[in-house]
Amino acid sequence: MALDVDQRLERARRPGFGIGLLKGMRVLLKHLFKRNSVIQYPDVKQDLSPRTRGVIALKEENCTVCMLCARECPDWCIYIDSHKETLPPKREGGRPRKRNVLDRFAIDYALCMYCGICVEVCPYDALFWSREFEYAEYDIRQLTHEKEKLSDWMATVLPPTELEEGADIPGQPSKAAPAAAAATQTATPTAAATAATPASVTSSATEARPGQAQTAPREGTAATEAARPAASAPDAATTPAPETAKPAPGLAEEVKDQQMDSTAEARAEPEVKRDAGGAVEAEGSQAEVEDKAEAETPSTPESTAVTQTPPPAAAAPSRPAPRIEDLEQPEDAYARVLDEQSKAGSSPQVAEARAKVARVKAERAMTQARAAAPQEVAPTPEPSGAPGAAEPEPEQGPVAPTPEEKPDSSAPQAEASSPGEDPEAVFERVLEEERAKGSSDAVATARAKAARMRAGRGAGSAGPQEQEGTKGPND
Amino acid sequence: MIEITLTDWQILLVKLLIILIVVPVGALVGGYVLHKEMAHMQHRLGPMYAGGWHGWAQTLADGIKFAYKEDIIPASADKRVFSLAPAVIFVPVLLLYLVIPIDQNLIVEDLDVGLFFLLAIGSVGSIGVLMAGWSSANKYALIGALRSAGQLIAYELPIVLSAAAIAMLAGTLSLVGIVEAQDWPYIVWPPGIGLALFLLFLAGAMAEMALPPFDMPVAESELITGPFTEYTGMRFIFGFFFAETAHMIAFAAIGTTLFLGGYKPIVPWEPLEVIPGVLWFFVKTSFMVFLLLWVRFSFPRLREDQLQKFAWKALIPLSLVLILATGAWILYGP
Amino acid sequence: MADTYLQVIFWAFFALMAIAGIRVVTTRNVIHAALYLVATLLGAASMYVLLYAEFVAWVQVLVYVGAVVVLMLFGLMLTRAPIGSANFDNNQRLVGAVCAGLLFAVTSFIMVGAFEGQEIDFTGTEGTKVQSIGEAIFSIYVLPFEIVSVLLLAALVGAVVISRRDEGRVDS
Ligand code: SF4
Ligand code: SF4
Repeated sequence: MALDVDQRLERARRPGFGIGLLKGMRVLLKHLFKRNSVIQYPDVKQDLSPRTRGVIALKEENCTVCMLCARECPDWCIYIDSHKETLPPKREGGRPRKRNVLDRFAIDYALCMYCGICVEVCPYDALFWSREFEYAEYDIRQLTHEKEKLSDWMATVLPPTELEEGADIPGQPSKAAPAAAAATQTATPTAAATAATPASVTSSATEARPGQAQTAPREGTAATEAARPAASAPDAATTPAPETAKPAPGLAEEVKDQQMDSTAEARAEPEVKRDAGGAVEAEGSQAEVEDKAEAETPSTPESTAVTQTPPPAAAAPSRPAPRIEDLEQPEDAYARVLDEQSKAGSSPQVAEARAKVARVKAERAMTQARAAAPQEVAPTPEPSGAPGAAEPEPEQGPVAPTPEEKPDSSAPQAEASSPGEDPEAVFERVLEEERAKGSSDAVATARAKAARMRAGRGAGSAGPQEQEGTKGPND
Repeated sequence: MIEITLTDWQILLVKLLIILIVVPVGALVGGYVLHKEMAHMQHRLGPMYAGGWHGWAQTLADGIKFAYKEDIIPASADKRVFSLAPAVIFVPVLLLYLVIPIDQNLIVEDLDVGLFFLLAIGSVGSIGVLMAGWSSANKYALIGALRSAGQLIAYELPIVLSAAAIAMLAGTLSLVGIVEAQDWPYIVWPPGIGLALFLLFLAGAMAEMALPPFDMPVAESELITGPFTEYTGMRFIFGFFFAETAHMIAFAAIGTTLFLGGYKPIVPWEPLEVIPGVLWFFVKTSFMVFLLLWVRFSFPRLREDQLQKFAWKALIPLSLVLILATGAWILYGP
Repeated sequence: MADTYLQVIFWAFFALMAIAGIRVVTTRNVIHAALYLVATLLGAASMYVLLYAEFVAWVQVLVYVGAVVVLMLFGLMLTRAPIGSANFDNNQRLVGAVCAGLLFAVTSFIMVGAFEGQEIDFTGTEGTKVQSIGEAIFSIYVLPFEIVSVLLLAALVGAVVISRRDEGRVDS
């Protein structure tokens, strides 16, 4: 090899009598007649790769003012101001809650070196890369962009790109679930498990891996995917779709392992955690859920799998299973959780608090279940999982000391192509919507493509914030 | 048909007027071609906006822009010399066009010593460059001017000698006479010598015009714009851009005349004789311009010492040898 | 008629040459002096043209304007010419004036003696053809031509020797 290099050097150093010059001229001549691939920038915009590091967008309602980003920024170019606010207790007799209110969040782009550390480090998924890059100013001082502008850019953040086939997702092994969309929307399989507490969630997540390996094919067939959403109710495992809810215990057993994976997935959805109550009611629904799932994905080759998997609801993942019988009355929930907690060795106060939470959730779940029925199929047309779609709900916001207070940010996770919707149709629809909103062509197409992708793999909800959103609170 | 009778003076005036119109237009078109050819050779698009269609009006817009710019004369500059220099650079370039035969009878003045006139006038411009460089009271300008002068002295010889060889072959200094004396296949005749003379002329011409790769006088990475560093507005455009492009076209035309058979058809074939000589001349000159630009875009700038070495150690001996060879060919050739 | 034009042109160029010539010696700036010299030389070239000696005229331009003056300017700028408008002068004007005056007197005396009473006829001259000049140089005047060549060669060698002096010392 070394000899080879030497020989080549030797050859290169030999006098060429101007042949090299002629070669150079030939290259230029070739280029003169080549098709020119210049993109005429201000007129035509390049479709930048989805992971382009353009600017950093801020999802204000996700920010807990934890200051991690500001501390980690190597350039110290993030400025954060906040104050504490005391909120009235959520219900009678509660404890007044404190929460940080973000007053100022600014990034000095004149200093920023686009290292991405802030995006990486934010535990609450409040910072995202946007492909936007036209933010030049006439004065260097104006390059310090305030949170208003940073939030505006949120609209330009694309959903994360699809992972490679068979790629390992640390901590969340299973695949996205398509049919899920509906479920997630209506009765988000909250971590009902209020009681389930973070601990249980994590445990299920960790177990999930092996389970998946056994039953759920990595490739995430449509079936498994379909199962996910339903299954997604983490611990509460009780599933969503309250209106349909019926337990299917037998199935539950079969799919249990798989479910466990799903739980991990479920964690990904903040909203899932929230209305926990739904879970309680959900129990009954499994059979129907199953049917539904089947009905929706009948044509897929994996339909057999579908039959097995849907029970997600049933899923009774590890812990919650025992509690899932039928609609639990709030008071029952209270009593039960209290009981469990004291058995588990929680201090009386904690046990009581958790029990209360469980009661409240159970109540809420009931109401929601009643209300939710009609909405089920109607997908909100919001832009595909663009994080921006989330609606701020400050009071439930970022401060998430107890499970029930976990962020509910993405309530109408619109992305929701309605389950089973034809990817092409999704594409068209999103494109239409984007156009209507006045997005630039490139952005509209990109989002439409993203939506199609999601629809194609059947996932309704792959918005970035859902995927990791719960990481912080739970861990 | 109306007969128009003009006296010699009137004809001369009309011809001068034509030159005064054609040369600037030619320079504008040449500038546009320069932009475009360079861009596409470098896989870019070049000007695309001015004027609408592929930025055809870019050079015109540039010219207008420069016309509106303030004419700044540095405080410590030698004002008279500074103001005069662009004219001293530009006027000789215009004068070059006086003797170039565009067609057998289409020439402002077929001087008996046309070739000599070209060489003489072509060398006057360097005085202007020296004036510009010195009067600017700027060290970069001065260095640029000195480089320019050194370069001119070194490369004048190859040009003059190769032109002399052509004159020997043609037996005349009149440009029309030289064209008439040329026969197909123009530049490759006499074998070897013709082509070598052509290359010699090309190298000398590029160096004299300070085109890359011989553009050390204006080497922008070292000297900003060399002698023109302090110039602005119209003086800049006339002394630099306009003169450069007009000079380049003039040299392309001279090369066509001396080596490519001027206004004669490319191959001596009856039907081609119908096409007017002006067209042939235009085609050949365009080819020359293309060639000059092509070379210009292909090679990186030489270093000053490399340039001088190349001239004194390669080109000048080569040109002397070629003169000898030409003489031998005339005496003993067929 | 044509004669009158030529007279006018002649006197115009004469005036140019005279003024430029005087400025060459009186200006305080050595670069200006060189530039005035250019004007003088161009005037001389135009005189040659008026005398139907085209070839000599263009040789004048090529050699003197294009090469000699460029070299002079080059040398001046490379060595000690002040940049910009600053002055550069020494106090030897008197000596210079005396020398120049003597030279002028002698030349005029000889010229007047040689061409007394002759008039130049501008009309009907065909002018000097390049061919005849070439023939003259390479036949009648071939000896002076060769001698001048040798002289120039000697000057060239001398210049090289002088400029390489330092290096020679190092070698020995
Ligand atoms: S990208 Fe890096 S430099 Fe820029 S704000 Fe974030 S951490 Fe700071
Ligand atoms: S939540 Fe994210 S964006 Fe907000 S302060 Fe913490 S690290 Fe920064």
